[in-house]
Amino acid sequence: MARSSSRWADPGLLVLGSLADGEKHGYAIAEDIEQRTGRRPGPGTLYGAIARLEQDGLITALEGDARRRPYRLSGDGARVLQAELSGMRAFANHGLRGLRGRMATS
Amino acid sequence: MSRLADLALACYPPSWKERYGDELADLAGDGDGADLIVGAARAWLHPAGTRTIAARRQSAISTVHVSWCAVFVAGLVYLKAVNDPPLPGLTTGASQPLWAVAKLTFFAGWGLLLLGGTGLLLRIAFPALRVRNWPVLRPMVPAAVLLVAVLGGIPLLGRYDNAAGVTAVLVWLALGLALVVMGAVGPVVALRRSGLSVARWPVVVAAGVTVMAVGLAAATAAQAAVLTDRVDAYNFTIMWGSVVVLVAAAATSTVSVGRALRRS
Repeated sequence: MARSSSRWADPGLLVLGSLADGEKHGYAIAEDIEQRTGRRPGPGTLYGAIARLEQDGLITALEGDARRRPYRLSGDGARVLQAELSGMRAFANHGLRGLRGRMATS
Repeated sequence: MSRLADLALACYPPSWKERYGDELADLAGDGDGADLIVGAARAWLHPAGTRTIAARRQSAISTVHVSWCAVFVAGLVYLKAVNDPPLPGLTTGASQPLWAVAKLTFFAGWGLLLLGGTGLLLRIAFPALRVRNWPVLRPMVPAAVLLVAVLGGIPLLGRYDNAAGVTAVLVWLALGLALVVMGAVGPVVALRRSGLSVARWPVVVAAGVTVMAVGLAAATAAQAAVLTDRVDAYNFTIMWGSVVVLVAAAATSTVSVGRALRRS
């Protein structure tokens, strides 16, 4: 997989995206993000994002081992992720349409 | 885990460590020191896990205390750069009122910090002494020992000449720096361990200290701009480096106190 680019730079969005398919603890989130983007977030970056998301009520911490506490996407988190991904999809579609038109005329 | 990662983990705010420390330590590896240092700096600016008013107050008191210790060291370094020897025009012209504001805010900040800090310290130390709560008292012991050593060393500084004198001054300066570091960290750890419920008044005092830190940072930044073409490259770096630390410390205090003074 190609190295990640700046559009994948928002750790908060990456964490939300990773939790879209179910609850995970920090280590599993880091693994998942590395698998999807080719870049593993550092623990400071990852937990900075987790802390902000939890404080904003976008994810919820579940009961579990203090060293590997699982997190789950909240209702608000799911809505925010949906809006962000829809915006990205619209932007990507617009860019791809432009590229297709450019390639057709060249 | 590397020593750097260990150190970086220790630098996170107490409330943050309490909430995420175990998880973070479990995930941190040898090469994560730099990422953890940046994370710790961000955690001080965005204290998470501090949703309750009580937790935000404790976090703000700790942040202002540590920030003011940084202000103290940066202020002394700035003073050395501009006043040893004094730069031409330091206390005249445009620099003069800024010099006066810097001195006033520095001493007023210390006054407020001692006023608020002593009260809190006594509320932590006396109950802990009464029940011999060593986990609370222990973090403050190094600062107390260093304070005695630094004060006791003052009369000895002028007694020796040449190499012995230089060594004595260097040792005394090292002890002084250690005192600032332990004086910054010790009371913060003791406050967290004591579980003391901080009232609104100490936060208002901390806000006063923060205003002084902002005034000091603004005055020194403006003065550095006035004096910038009168210093050599070495002192230029020291002068502006200390201004950056002053501004960062004042900004960190402002953010933390602002959160603590919010009612919800």
